[in-house]
Amino acid sequence: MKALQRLAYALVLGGAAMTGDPAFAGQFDGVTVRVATFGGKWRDVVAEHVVKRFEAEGGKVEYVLGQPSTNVAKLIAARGREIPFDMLEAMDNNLPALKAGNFIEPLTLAKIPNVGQLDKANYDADKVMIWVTQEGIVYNKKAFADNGIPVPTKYADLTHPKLKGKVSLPDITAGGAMPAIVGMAYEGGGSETNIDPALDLVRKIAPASFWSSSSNLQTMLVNGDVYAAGAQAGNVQRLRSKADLGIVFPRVKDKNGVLKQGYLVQIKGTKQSDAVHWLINAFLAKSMQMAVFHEAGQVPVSAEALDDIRKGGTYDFLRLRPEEIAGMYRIDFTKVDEPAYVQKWNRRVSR
Amino acid sequence: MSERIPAYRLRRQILAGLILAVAYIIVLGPIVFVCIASFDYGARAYVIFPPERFTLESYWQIPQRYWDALWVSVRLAAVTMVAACAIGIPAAIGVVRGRFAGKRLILTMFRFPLQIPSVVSGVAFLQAYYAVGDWTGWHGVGSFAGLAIAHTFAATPYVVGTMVTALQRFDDSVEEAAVILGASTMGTLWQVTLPMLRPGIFAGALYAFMVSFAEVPMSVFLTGSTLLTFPVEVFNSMQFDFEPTILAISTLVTVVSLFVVWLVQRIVGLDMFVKVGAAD
Amino acid sequence: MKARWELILIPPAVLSAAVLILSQAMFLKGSLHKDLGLGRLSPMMSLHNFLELVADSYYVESLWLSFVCSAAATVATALIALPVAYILARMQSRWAAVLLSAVIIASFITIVIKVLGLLLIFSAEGPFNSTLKWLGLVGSPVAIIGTIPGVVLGLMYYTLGFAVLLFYSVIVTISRSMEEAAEIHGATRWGAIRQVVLPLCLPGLAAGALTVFNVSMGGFSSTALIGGGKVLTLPIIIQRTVIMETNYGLGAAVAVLLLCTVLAINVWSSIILMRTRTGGLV
Repeated sequence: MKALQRLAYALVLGGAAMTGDPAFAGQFDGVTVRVATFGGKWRDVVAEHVVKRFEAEGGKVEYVLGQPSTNVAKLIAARGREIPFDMLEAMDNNLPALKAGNFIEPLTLAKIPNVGQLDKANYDADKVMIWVTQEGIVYNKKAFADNGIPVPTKYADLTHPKLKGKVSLPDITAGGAMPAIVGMAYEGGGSETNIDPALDLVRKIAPASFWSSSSNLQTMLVNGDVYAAGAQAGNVQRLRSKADLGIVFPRVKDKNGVLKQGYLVQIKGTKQSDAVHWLINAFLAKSMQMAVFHEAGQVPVSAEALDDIRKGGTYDFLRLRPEEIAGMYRIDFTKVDEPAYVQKWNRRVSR
Repeated sequence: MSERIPAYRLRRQILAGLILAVAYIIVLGPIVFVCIASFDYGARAYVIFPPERFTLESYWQIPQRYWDALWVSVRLAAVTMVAACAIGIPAAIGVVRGRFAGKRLILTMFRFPLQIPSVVSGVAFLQAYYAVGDWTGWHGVGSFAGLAIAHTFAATPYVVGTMVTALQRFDDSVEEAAVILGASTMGTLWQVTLPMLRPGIFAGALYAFMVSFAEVPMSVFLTGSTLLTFPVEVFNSMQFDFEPTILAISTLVTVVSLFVVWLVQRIVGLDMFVKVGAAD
Repeated sequence: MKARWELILIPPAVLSAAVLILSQAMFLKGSLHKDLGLGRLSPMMSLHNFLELVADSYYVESLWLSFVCSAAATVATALIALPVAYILARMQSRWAAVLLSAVIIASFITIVIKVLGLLLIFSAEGPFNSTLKWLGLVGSPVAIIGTIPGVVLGLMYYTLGFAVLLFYSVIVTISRSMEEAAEIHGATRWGAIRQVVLPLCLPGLAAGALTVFNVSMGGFSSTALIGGGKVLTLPIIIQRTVIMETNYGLGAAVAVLLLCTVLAINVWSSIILMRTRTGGLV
């Protein structure tokens, strides 16, 4: 009886092995890549359009979730030990720190054919741009109408008495912080080098809270805790079915609204360089770039995706025409001293 | 007097009942809400309350990392409980029964971690592990052992405290009887004293487990990207990537805790915890 | 032949002392090095970080904020925990065990989950605000995010569970017969509590309250979630400085500030307690 059992067992195991995953044939069998990226809806988008294809090749992705500044801090804290992730989704404001800390492993662009879809200015050996967000003031149209609040046109409009306790601005740790701060700075007569007017305006607005997670911000926008927030067009898109949100791009210097760029970088010390290149390429593929737009509400960088979208029509909350995009402000990060601004922020905000 | 007492008692009982009701609603309210809200798996972007529909969907969708983190927390709490008892019980016995000067000082030393705010301990261990890492190559940050040491550090004072209380109320006469009847010191300890101190030991062990399982501040500093405890995982989720499934797994943790406590009640009886240091 | 119990004390004592001293020493030393940014520390020792603590009132203000929040939270916790602990300690039915288990379970549940529940309850359209509106008490919803009362509420929940257990273990040591004796002699229930039970367990209760205070000073997860980036207590600043800004030296210095303050308060309270003990009727 025992022998029979053993035979049955062996057959079952053998059968399982033979009917196993076709992924056995994939080029990334047994490869696990750690990707540091945003959580929430974005992670779902990445999972669906990039990671799924990677898994079809036998690979596996482990997510390290958080705002880029948090993830950069993890890199710094790793201190010559094993790096916490192989690939990082960073933003324009993180690049100086990444470069200074010597964390970036240059890419072999030849292995990323899809960069051909990008404007030459949007990539180099260190980094590849994958999306652009358009930052401004997101507001709940219905709440504004119901309460008789005029639609905001500039950040200072957020001091409207009826908005007391209903405004949320990005926390200094959030990705959306710098665009909002620089925008407010210019409005108050400052610039990238002088953000004091921005801090003054923040105090005047006296927001109910500072958001550090876009998921939580979205929760608050939907359930009415927040009527207006410093955020980006993507939030409007993601909540399209749940709330009637609009976005306004205030005047910043001589342009309207602020552009924020997202990049992918390879981390020095990674052992999965081939996989990282493959993944970056997948981020630039049409499917992901279209999803960047349709599902996350951000502006893609790939030419074919942009063409498609422009043909598809106009969107009232996004600026898609080239001249419109050119009409948005890009922050000059060489002028931004982020650590000093973080200190300043902490002090002014808590009093 | 016997006619007065019932009315008296009734009034008191009603008052007590009211106070308890209000207090327990306050204490348990948020937890109950989380359980109720877990049954509605709304769209990812936000949580809605009251739930629009009743579904167990979010329970099936709990990401693997929460299970991993929960397992880490359980193992960590178990290790902490054992270590804290291994250190705290002999320490308490030694302090209460030993004869030497400076008892108060030693006791203060054992109870000192209670005075150190957990965030400070977190930073302290982080720095200590970095320094040790530079010397010896063993990197404590992000390691299970590193977390275990820190948690034990935080939990041992609770064990020492409960054991000292239990020992101080301990009636030596049973022990003396055993010794008179010929038992050895160690034998008495194992077979008479420790069993009688079970309430104290159990209470201390339970405290140690609780402290470790629910610990957040130190763990935030000492967890790595791959090794996360359950509370830290939920904390990160609420900060960066909120999803309704944390409601589901929290409800599960609540239910399991209920079950464990019920189990303890059946096997050992909760009077153990109730009676620590009771004078009646 | 008397047993030398001191001997079994030695291994745990040595171990505890080693861990205690090592961890605290490393971190104190770390505070004496200037930060060079990106997590690096200058090799020279200096008081630079501490000078910065003194020069910039920001840290002291935050310390004061922490103190106020923790003190308020301790009072709030005590207000709930003391009556509950007393009632449970005096309860004679089997319900005591059940209710205690409820408290134990509540303590198993990590604070972040309770905060999640709180955020749900206090959200603009949540039960709390809906009830207030229905009762006509407020015109617009009351929020807890980003407010000091909200943070105090969070800290209260952080300590409530084990506060009940701590106070319970103190009160339960006073024999019920003492109160009964007092009542037989004509005291009211409350009078008996006030004049008999309370003085007897005051040291234990005070120690419990102090523990609650210490824990509140050190907790930061509830503050981080409820504070909404606006209420920056010292633990939050420590976390930001150490983890976000990776300024380990300055972070350690701020942590030293917190530690010294807490120790000072504990010592001061012990002194006061001792004075009242010797000064009053023992």
